[in-house]
Amino acid sequence: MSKAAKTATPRDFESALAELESLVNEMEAGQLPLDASLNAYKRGMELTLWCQKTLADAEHQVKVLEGQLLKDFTPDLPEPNPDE
Amino acid sequence: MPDTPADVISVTELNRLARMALERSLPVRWVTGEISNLTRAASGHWYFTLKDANAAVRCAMFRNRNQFLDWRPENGMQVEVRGQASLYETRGEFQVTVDAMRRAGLGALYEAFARLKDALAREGLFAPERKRPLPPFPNCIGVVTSPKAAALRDVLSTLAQRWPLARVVLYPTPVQGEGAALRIAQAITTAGQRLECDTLLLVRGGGSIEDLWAFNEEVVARALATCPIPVVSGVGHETDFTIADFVADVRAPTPTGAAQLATPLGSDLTARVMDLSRQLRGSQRRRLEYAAQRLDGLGRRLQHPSQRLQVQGRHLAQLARRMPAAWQHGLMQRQRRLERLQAGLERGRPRPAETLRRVDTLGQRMTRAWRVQHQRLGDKVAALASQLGQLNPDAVLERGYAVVRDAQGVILREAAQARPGQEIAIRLHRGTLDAQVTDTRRED
Repeated sequence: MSKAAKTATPRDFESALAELESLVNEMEAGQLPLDASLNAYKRGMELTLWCQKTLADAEHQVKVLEGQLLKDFTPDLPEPNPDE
Repeated sequence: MPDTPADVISVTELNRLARMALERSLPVRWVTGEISNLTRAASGHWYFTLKDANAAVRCAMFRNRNQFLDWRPENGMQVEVRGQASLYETRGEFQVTVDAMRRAGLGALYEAFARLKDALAREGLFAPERKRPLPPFPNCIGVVTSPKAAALRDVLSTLAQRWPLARVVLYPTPVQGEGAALRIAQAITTAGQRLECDTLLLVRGGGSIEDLWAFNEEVVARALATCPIPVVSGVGHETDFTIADFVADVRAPTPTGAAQLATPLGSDLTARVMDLSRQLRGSQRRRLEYAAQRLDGLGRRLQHPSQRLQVQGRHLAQLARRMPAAWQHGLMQRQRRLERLQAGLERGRPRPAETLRRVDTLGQRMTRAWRVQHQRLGDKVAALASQLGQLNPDAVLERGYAVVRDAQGVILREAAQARPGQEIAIRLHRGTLDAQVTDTRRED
């Protein structure tokens, strides 16, 4: 029951999606005992919310390497050159 | 000189002949020189003078040709043009109609490109087995380009739109001009050493082949080959191929294309997550329904003893109700059977008076029959006796015939049956003669 025992915040989107997919597969296979399926469902819903929230709240962060330091980068760009 | 009017030609005619003679004797070829007096007419056609130290020639490059040029010729540039030497008839001016133009020395550049490409290909730097897959969901994307490049804006907006989850780190470097190649190579190497990214984009917007040249340098190719992070290249336009494109793990046609290839589409993923969530709810609902159904099934089979007694009591009452009816039914059945037997018995009962009457009748009929039969038999016997009388051999003997027998009593029918001297007996109508055969005569 390692799957159901997992409650931690996912490491990243990829692992969250992978875990969600494997949970759905297990559920679809219909082999889970009832309590395990309840746990899987609960965990699956957590992951769904986490994924949705992560996608919705993602704030695009751009840094620029200056010397040895990463600094916030605000694109201050010229209009595109008409020749390009 | 009394020339006839037929020998005189017009200026138009002269220029036409001159143009034809020129075009016949001077085929299309490449000419090198420096541009001056460049005019870009509103019509889109270009006019300029091509000159060297000692001579100059007027040139025209029409819009339908110059629109394919991906760089901008300026006065003072050394160029090579390919064109037809001809005569502009209207003004009688000698000029070259240019259909292609390149910067002088570009031929050498192309040669260098081809040489390096071959050498690196032989070394295996472009081999398909060297290409690494890109992470499907990058967490950090490095971009090697100029912070001032328009290409960077395209890349950043594409990344923000498709996959804002990934952090972006810009490794700034000039992308054209003196020393650009080395700076690009250093930026790639730095990204590889810092290793904060899982995907690296090497991008630059479109430009002339010289503008893109830094991406054809060996030092960039080497930096890419040793970079531990998978690299997507997006240099120039779709039609441009640089050495960097060949070495990169993935080649994108443009900077925007590179950003697209490096990232999943967030909206697709949102839909995917929703799908999975729907599947999850569906599975869970089915699982619960199944459990509930099983529970119901078991509940039905699980009974309290009193409930069981009640059921049995009900059964018993029902049986009690059915018993008198069953009894009644059996009784009636027996009654009906008895009646049937009685009827049979009645039919079989003896009736003496009736029988006696029948016997009398039969006796009378028998006596009558007997008499008739007796009469008929008497008649038949008389007839037979008469027939018999006629068949009696004695009757024949009475008419004078005789029967001859030998000593053994065998009747003789032919003379041959007897021998002379043989004793025979001859029976007559009355009495028998014993005689001896004196002779036999055959009569046929």
